[in-house]
Amino acid sequence: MKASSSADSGALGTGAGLRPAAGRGGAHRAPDIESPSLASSPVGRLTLVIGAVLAVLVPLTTMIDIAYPGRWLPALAFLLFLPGLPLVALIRLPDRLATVTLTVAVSLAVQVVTGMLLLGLGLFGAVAVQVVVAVISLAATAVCWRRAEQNPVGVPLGAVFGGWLSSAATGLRKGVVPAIGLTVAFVLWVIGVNAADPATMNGYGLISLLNPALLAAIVVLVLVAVIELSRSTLRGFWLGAVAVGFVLLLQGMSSAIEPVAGFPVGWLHMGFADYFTTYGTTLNGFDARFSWPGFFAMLSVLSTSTGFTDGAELLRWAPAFGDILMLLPLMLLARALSPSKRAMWLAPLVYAVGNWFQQDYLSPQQLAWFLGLSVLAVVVWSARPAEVPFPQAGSGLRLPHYLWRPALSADRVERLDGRGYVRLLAALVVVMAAVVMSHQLTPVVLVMALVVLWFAKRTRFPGLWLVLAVMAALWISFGAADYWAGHLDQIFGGVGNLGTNLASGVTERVSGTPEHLQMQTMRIGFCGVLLALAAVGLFLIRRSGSLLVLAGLAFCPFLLIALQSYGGEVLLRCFVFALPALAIAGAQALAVLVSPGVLNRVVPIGSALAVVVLTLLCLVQIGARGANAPFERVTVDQLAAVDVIDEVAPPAARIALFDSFAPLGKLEPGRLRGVLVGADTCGSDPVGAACVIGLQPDLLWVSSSTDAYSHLVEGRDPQFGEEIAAELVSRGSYRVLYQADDVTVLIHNTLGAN
Amino acid sequence: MNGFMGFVVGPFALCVGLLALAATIGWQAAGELPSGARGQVLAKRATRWFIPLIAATGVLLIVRLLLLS
Repeated sequence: MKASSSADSGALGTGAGLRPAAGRGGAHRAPDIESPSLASSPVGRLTLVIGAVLAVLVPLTTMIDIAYPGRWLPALAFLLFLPGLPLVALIRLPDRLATVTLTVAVSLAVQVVTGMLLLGLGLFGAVAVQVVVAVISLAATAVCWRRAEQNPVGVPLGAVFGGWLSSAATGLRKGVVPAIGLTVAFVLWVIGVNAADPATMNGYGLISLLNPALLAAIVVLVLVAVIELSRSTLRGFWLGAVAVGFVLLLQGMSSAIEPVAGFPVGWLHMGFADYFTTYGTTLNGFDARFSWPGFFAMLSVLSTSTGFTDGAELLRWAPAFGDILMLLPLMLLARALSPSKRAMWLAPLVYAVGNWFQQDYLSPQQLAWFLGLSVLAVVVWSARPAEVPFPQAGSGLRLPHYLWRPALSADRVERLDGRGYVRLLAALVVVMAAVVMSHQLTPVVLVMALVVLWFAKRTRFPGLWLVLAVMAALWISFGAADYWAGHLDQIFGGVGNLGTNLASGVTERVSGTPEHLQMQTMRIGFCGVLLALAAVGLFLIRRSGSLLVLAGLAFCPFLLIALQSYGGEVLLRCFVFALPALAIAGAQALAVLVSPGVLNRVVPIGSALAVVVLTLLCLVQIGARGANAPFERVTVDQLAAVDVIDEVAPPAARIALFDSFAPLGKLEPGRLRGVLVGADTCGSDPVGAACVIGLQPDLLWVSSSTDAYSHLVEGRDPQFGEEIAAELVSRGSYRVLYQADDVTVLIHNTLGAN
Repeated sequence: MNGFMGFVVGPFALCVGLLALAATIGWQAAGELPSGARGQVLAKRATRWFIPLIAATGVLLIVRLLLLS
């Protein structure tokens, strides 16, 4: 199915692959014409000036630690745009979306790498990192300014923001319906999240909080989406707004309903970042994640510079913000691989509804996968498929031609010459370095994905996978030596154990009360729906030339199952890595419903069906994503309890827990020693008060999460934790240190005064 | 003794590894630099050496891993 949809408003730039280019095997070669420099237009110069001001202002405010309203905004802008803005400007990419995607990726990557270098030199600190980044930014800005030239050919890079502002103004003038629709959806969403009380959540999780306002918000947003997708002329501005709306409504729902961020592991990450802030060094031997400290170093700088030192606001809004950022590389990849523009704009919606996996909290994997996907998207964008992609007939193969490896290598995109590609390579190497230093799994998946691109000849750097593999091997050998020395079985023990790894990720997790089982079954079924949708989409675009790449990117992450169980989460991680490609492929299938074809010729049956399908998918997403919310949520009372423990508990006190959902990670690493009360630690004794007394912990933590988890997953009494706490107090062994609706903390009677 | 040798091999392995990395990157850049460009000679040389350097790095890292674990 070749590109047949009508032109959009050009909000995403020129796009590669829409016109065949001359290449190595072609009849002629387009002249190497560079795009003009960023400083060649007034808007471009203004952008550089703003960047230079940020480069001076933010390190200064971090150093002096001035608190002022909105301090977080320039700090966030510094993180996202410096030094990427002037550095990427030097590459002169002839595409707006590629420019912005690479700008953000390079900015984050340079800050990670800078943090790691300073860590190695013993000079780590938020100010030190920002000063180095500022110096790089200012130097690159000066070079950009000197190289400014008036070149009328191509899209001036300074028009990146100017072009989008112009599209926005045009879109606002002509888009009364989507403007009203999105506003109504947002207002309904705000009403709905304010009316939802998380304390009333039942065993079905977040979906039990769905009220008429939230349901109406979903329906209105879906209606706006389908109306815009069904237009004969697609409007990029409004479709972009719809995509952001989907992410905010779905991924931002629990962030808006809960007063504090859920997912206790996020608080652990803040604790690690706080350690960096306080001591400026890693804590060897404490946790495997300290061997990949790039993300935590960056988080330390971010929390210090924004003034959000307790991390509450960062944690709360990280999922929605991170997923909005993710739309940049996703759209770049979708534009390069989708034959249909309608499908291209559907891809972020399918991504938003498919993203139930909750791996987008403030975490190394969130950062690393954004960087990794940016690498993939830029590599695919920069490789224009050759005019004659497939081998000639008569080569002896009986496979359909669209399953053959292309005969010719990819060409360069227009207006980016060889030197530009070398600079692009340098940028990609920096981004990959940040990936390698931040997360264990992402480099493995990225290597596999780059191999797919090499095989499908959709890359100008066929050996990029080898560059990344060497970098990853060096980092594991030297940077993460503290992790593997003496623990090689943890890395290689799961290799080849497909059944064991799969069981730990699926069958062992499907247990508990009927409601919980239904939700887990729904999660598994939803994954099946995503896969089926992607399969249909791949079949529909099989002749477009993108089949090999999309299928490879969608299914290569599942090879991880054969390597490691990753603590029982490997299947979840496979879907996280596969989701962008699955979304692009699935969008090809859903695009049939909104295209001006048979289904919409007389009566818009297809569009009506699209509304129903998208609405159902949204509801399923909310249910799947929030299925574990009853025990994964963190409350204000629980955070207050953690603070009380920090004030009172002796150093390295032992605290007994019945689960891993307490936000104790907020404390400094090593402050407490956790003792998990369960079958392993209780032995022949039942899990209860007697076992706790036998373990002799200094403290005991029970919370609403304890009760919910033990009831929903382990089938115990709904008041399990509270009953044990009451019994321990009545036996005279412990007294109450802190008690609120959601949490009870006991302290041993031999410790401290009241 | 094994640990000691592991730490002796380490810096050597790191140097060879960084050379291998530079050579591999140079191999990728070689195809994009125009003929006669300043870096093209080095990039072409890297194309010849990146495989032996990667192989040497692999051997040294495995030796170091065995000595230290």
